[in-house]
Amino acid sequence: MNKLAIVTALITSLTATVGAYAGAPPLRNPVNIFTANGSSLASGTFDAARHSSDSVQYIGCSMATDTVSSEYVSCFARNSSGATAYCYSSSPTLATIEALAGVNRTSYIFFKLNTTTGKCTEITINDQSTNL
Amino acid sequence: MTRILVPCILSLTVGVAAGWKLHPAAAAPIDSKLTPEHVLFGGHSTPVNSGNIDMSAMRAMIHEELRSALADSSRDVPSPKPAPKQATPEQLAQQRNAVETIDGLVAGGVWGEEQRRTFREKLVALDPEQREHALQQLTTGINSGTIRVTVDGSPL
Repeated sequence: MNKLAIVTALITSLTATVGAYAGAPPLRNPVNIFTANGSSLASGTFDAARHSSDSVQYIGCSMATDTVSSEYVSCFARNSSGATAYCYSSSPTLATIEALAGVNRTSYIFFKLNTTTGKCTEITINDQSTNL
Repeated sequence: MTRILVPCILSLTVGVAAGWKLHPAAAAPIDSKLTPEHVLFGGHSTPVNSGNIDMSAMRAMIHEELRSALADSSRDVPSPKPAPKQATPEQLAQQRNAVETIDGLVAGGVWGEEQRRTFREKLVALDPEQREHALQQLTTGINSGTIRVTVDGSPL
């Protein structure tokens, strides 16, 4: 009787674990890319992109300068189906540079671009615990 | 007493005479013929008679005054920014080479690690206008799908 109880308990526990794993909520904010009316929008979190099961998606932004007179920022994203979005700005505002300097693993990035010129028309950085 | 009095009277006489001579009223008689035109143009203008003003001379003088005033004011305008430093022949050759290389990379239609590295290297040789054009070429190519990105992360 005791043996039966122990085995039953083990099976129940294992079943619950597997069930919980299978039912785990999907990662928040995977990379999304949407294009319409001459604009593209891309968004997603570092955490979701990095830990996605497809190993295709990514998102990020970078800053570069020639250390003399010019600087530019660029943002890029690829979703799980392989679609990409990329934009740049060669005249970023100080606010843009400061926002990008604060990007970290909790960051949610959203950017919008003009598909004709390739220029970033909006960059949003959001950091919050629920992004993890 | 007389020794003191004589020099005093002499010096008083000399002082009064000098003062009278230097008095403005005595220095020069007022020119009763002085007209406003003489005052306005410093007395060097064509003689003016109050009933018949020489308009062409006046016009010429006004033009001259305006011209000199404009010349003065133009000297006050801050000089424009100095022109950007002229590129040397070597730099121009490097820029031409960089533009050609980047055009080739973009026309290739595939953006991998090698293209990314070469693009970065060539980008620094370009002037700001050329750099802007190169970035635009790459960006619009990726977004339109004419360039297939095979590298993970930033294409730059």
